[in-house]
Amino acid sequence: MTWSRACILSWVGKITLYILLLLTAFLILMPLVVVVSTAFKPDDQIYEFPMRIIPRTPTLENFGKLAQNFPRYIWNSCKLTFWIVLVQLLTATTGAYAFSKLRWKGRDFLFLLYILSMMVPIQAIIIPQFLIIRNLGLYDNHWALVLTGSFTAFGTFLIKQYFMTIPDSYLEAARIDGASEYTIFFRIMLPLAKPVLATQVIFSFRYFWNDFFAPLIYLTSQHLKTLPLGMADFATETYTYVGPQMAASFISIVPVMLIFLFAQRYFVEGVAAVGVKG
Amino acid sequence: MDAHQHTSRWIVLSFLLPSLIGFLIFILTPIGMAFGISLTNFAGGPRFRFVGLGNFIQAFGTEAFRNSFRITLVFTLWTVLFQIVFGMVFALILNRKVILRTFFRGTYFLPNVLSSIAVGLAFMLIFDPQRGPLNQLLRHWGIHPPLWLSGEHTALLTIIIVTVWQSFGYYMVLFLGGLQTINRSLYEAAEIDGAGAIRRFFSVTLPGLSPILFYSITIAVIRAFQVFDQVYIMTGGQLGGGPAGATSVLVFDIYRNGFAQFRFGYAAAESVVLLGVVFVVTFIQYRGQKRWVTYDVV
Amino acid sequence: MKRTVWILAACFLVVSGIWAGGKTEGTAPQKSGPVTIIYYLWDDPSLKPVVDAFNAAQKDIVVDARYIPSPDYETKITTLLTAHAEMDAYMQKRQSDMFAHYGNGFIEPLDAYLAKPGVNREAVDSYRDAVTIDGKVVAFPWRGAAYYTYYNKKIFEKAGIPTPDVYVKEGTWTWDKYAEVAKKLSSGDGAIYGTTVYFWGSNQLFMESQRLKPIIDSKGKIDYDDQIYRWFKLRKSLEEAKAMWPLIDMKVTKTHYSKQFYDGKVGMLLIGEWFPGFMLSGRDQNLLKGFTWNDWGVTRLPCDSKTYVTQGNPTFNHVTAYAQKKDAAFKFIAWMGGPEGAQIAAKAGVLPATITPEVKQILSKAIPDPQSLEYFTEPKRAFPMLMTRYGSRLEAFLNDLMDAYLLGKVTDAEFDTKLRAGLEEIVKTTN
Repeated sequence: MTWSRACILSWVGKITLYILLLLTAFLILMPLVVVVSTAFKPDDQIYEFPMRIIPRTPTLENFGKLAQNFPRYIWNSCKLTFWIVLVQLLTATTGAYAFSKLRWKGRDFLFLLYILSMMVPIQAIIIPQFLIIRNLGLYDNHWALVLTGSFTAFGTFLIKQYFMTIPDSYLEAARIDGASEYTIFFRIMLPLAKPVLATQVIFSFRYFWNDFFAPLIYLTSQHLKTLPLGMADFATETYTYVGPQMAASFISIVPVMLIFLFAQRYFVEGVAAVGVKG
Repeated sequence: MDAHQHTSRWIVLSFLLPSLIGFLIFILTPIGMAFGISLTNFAGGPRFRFVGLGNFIQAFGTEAFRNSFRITLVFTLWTVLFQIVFGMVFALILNRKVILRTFFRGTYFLPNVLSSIAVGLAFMLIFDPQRGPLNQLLRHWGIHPPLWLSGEHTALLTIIIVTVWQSFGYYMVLFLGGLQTINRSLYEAAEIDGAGAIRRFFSVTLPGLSPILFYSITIAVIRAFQVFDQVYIMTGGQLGGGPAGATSVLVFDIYRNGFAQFRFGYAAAESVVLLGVVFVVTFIQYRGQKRWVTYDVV
Repeated sequence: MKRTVWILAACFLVVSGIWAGGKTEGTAPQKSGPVTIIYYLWDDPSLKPVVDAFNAAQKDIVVDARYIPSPDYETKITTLLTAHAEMDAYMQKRQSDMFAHYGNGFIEPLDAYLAKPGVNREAVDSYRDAVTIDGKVVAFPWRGAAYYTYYNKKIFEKAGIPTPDVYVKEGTWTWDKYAEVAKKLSSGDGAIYGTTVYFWGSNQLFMESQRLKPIIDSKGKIDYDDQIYRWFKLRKSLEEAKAMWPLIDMKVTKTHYSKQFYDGKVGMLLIGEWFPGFMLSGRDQNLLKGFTWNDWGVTRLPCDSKTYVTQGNPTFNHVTAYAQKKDAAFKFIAWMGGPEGAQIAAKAGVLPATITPEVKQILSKAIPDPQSLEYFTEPKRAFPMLMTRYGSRLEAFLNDLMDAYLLGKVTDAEFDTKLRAGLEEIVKTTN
């Protein structure tokens, strides 16, 4: 069998491709491996060269150092994320319904405002937002985060786009039968929108589990802090305790990674869908 | 049937209210207030006065602000460029039949779901100039190791690397989605016409992707202007900003001025400038899309 | 619909605009019985024993101490005060911030409380200049103020030169001598640095402070001489000769001055009166490398003039203006700044604001030898640097200027222009 030039080139091309893919995958995964591996290393082995992936003497002492505060932080993160995700689901679905299935004056204008607000960086309005929270007496309080996080232009947009694909005829039929808008919303729209709701939940979760800036501004008390804030705990003025930092990062990363592993489809499809329909 | 052309006002309001409350109180009002506060020298207490455009004039006259502005622009340029290019390249590769396609796609997207803080901490370890594994490896190979975050010229680069590492997967997925929507027959037609791979890319793929490309670039730019977490954690918190302010992006300068030095009025003015720039850039892109974005290629 | 939205929005804007000024809190009448006060401070290891001791020493007041991590303290306390978070008293970390806090109405003047009988106000009187604004006393010192030269005797031995106290006795411990000694002590390759000075803006002003005049006075008048430039130049040349720990490096790698000294890499450390406390920790945690407890000493800062002057700001406490329990808060901070608090401070190895023989006795456990103890506790003039309402801005500016200068972004020729321009800007734009 003669190997034509094209054949060889194609093989070479393919191999280069796979090398590129594998190399990139390696570069992506390597830092994560470092986190996991360092989390289990005692302080004096962290910077050893050559770096060992499996620690020489694996230890749980870094996690031990977290035992004092981190259960609290983790609980706060869980609690806050749960509530914010729920609240966002509420505001996004109701808003989306109003924008997609109801007709009213000013609808498109308000929606445009919602969309434009996506351009506003949180940091540009954090100072006035902080003052409002202060005046409401909600500083250093989890409510500050729930309230400021309640509105999601992106989520409303996402769900609205999805709702729009549900034929109006379903709704008209229901209206003729005398169903109220609320019934339509709960009995027809929501059940049909399960995929996009799942996507919205995942996006919300990902954002707030990792949110650092808002908690940084609005929380001070130790017992209210969330996981991302807690990760910054170990950089004191005098010394940075890398081991516990990595243990904390480990705790932050692992749940999300696991969810991602099982729900990759939703993440990816959600992102792609937005792009296509946007 | 015209009976339900306009729904009852109250019903509409009841559906709108949940999102509207949050929007009005925590988004719209702060935007207005930002403009208002930027015109004063508010410093957290009851004694403040109106200073008109004083804060703005001062900002543009201050080295630190101009520096932040410049750094933000540089940062935006490079991160957007690399995120889009890498995203595009890998989307094209993974669009074909590749073994372990889902694995690669998942791996590249993975950093995007992780906390920027955790990512920042991990890279601080890796990039540590004296003790980090990367520099130790470089030294071992006889290469003079760069200072990464400690170096005035390399600090921003390091943050760019970390940001691109974390986000290019997101854009890759966006492009993958977009590639799926391009009609196969267009490719076949082009091939029949004798167009080579490169030609096909420019005549079919790129136009087909242009809506997504537009969306991606817009999002990437907005996000680049908002970067904070990595800068904060990798360059030392409130004392940070990198060596000689090399990584003091605009948002960080706002944070520092507002929350570390009480200069809320001035920081608000900086915020308004930030807002303005984002809007202008987005608007320009929006206008530009009419020229180069082709919808309906499908 | 559209109009309704706009009207609603406008209402919100107006209402919150008025609201932005913030509410004023009334003070509740003081109750009798155990009163709990909320006290904010940072996580310095020497501070916890003081709170515990106070709570143990009396039953009327319980101090609920809230610790904020040190790196974020200044930002957090600002935010807390602006948000009128519940707080009765707090410790000030960046002393010059007291001007902004006072200007915003967060600090309660203490003159009325000090006038009451039975109050030991020695600390306030010793540091009067540093705790007064517009003639009103606004703070109660807890820690005294002074910067010293801490030195590692082993490194001097290795280099074969006399320790700084010898020069002090001779009267030759000037800045030039200091630079000379630093160079001699260094290994030249960064393994051992002759000296280190931390990166805080205030620490770049030793020479300037010794002329006893503020750079910007309370009226906004700018008055400085070439001592600022002299230090910047000295720092740069010492860093280039690898005789001084590079500032940018310690900033970015976050190597604390204590670690630099513990590791036995530094011959002389110029830092403030709280350092023996760090040395105690260092000893107890076995962090001292290459030298032991007996191998370090304390002496005066280098000084060019015949009359010794050092620099320093006392660390002090404030009573919050909107606090609910001001009397109790004052009692606590007065206790802390008085003889009892001084003893606890001494036990922690820091120089208290009040010095008594008992205090000296306790301090001797934190200082390795009697001579060092004398230098540590001798009465001396400590100029409070950066203690005007421009102080905080000035500190930040000097910080940035030093970065830029060390990196060559500001040349020697442009130094004065940049300095003056920066100072003028600060004066123009501070409330």
